[in-house]
Amino acid sequence: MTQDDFLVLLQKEIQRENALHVNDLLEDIPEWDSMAMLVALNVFDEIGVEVDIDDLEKCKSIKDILQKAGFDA
Amino acid sequence: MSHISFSNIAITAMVTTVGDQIIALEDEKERFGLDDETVARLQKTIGLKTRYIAQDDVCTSDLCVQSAKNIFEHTAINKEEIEALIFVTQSADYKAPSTAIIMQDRLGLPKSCAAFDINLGCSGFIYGLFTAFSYVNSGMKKVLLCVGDVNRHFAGEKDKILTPLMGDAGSAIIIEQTPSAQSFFALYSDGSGYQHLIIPKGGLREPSSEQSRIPTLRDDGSIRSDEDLFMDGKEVFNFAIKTVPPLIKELLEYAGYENDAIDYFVLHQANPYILKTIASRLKVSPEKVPLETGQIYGNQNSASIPGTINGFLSEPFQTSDLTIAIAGFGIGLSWGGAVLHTHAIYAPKTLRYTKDER
Repeated sequence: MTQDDFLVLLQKEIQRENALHVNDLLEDIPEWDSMAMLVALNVFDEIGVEVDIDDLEKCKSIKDILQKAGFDA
Repeated sequence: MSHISFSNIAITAMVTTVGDQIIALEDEKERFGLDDETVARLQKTIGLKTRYIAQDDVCTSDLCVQSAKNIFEHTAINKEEIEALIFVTQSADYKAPSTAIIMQDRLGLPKSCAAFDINLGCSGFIYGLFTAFSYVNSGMKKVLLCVGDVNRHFAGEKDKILTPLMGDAGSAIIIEQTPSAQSFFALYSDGSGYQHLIIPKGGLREPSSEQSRIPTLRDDGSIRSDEDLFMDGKEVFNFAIKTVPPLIKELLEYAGYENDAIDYFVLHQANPYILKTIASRLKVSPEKVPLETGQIYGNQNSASIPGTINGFLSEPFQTSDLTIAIAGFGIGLSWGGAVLHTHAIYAPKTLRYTKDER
């Protein structure tokens, strides 16, 4: 899965209409809440990366999320 | 604890009764103060649809008694051979005595039947089952295990975080000596996490007071009192995904089975995302991990594993020999699992409570 594929999947799973971009801050994404984190865990698992909620809570930006997922964002 | 195995002991009957009121999430949005957008998101993301709850005068024991009566009416199981009744619940009829003792009389079980309650939540089916297997292993002919909860006992009426997830159910299960391959159990506890799922006040440590009974708006947005159940969802989610996959893996290793040997992984139905994450980390195909119970019936606490079997797997359990892995996890923190064999057991579709059974 490419970085772009990952972002499209994450966007779809958290039910966001607008595309996600590497420089987006999570605090500017209203859909990014505790429910979205549960969803995101499944997206990470789909690419074989195990994280937990604590890992996701530390992320401040989409770039942080991508790095957690193993992409060179 | 070390792993424990049993031979020639198995479940032979399992019935679940749910509350007779079906409530759709959208019908409760005013009660919980949820806007349309949040309701739509909960429906789409977590898949919440309905939950089955009991009327205000129905206790968990009533649901379990209906389940047990159904077993005695529809099978050849002889009541006189029941040597223990174990009731796992957090919603007993009275603070004392143990509800199981009252159920012994209601069900017409012999006075030679041992009867007692176990206070556990979502891990309770595994603990109750282990206790029942142990009693049969020590010589008892048959044990009746009853599990379940009616959630109005502890879930805040207006708690929008916890209560929309909860359903009421009571299951009855017969465990007896019967030709069967080995079963394997493992049980765990971690009391350092007791505050993540707790009814903080109303017990001896923090007694009930006028103030502890008043529901107030909390930091997490829910309205609840200190005598309602509190759940730190993040901690509980992390606990589940960190403990359950290793538990199942070690049980399979202990049993000497690969994933392929397991027909179904029936896990406590906390929420579908926990189950999807666990299934993914176990690398098992999703069709082997049923996850609809919470979406249709609600979280049934200790009854959610039998509730899933009766609710969605009745046909294969009634007609086939199966090898299953089960796991419960939650309040305590407490968790446990088992690998079992079932042999075309009596497991009808989930019943709805009918008042004349009381």
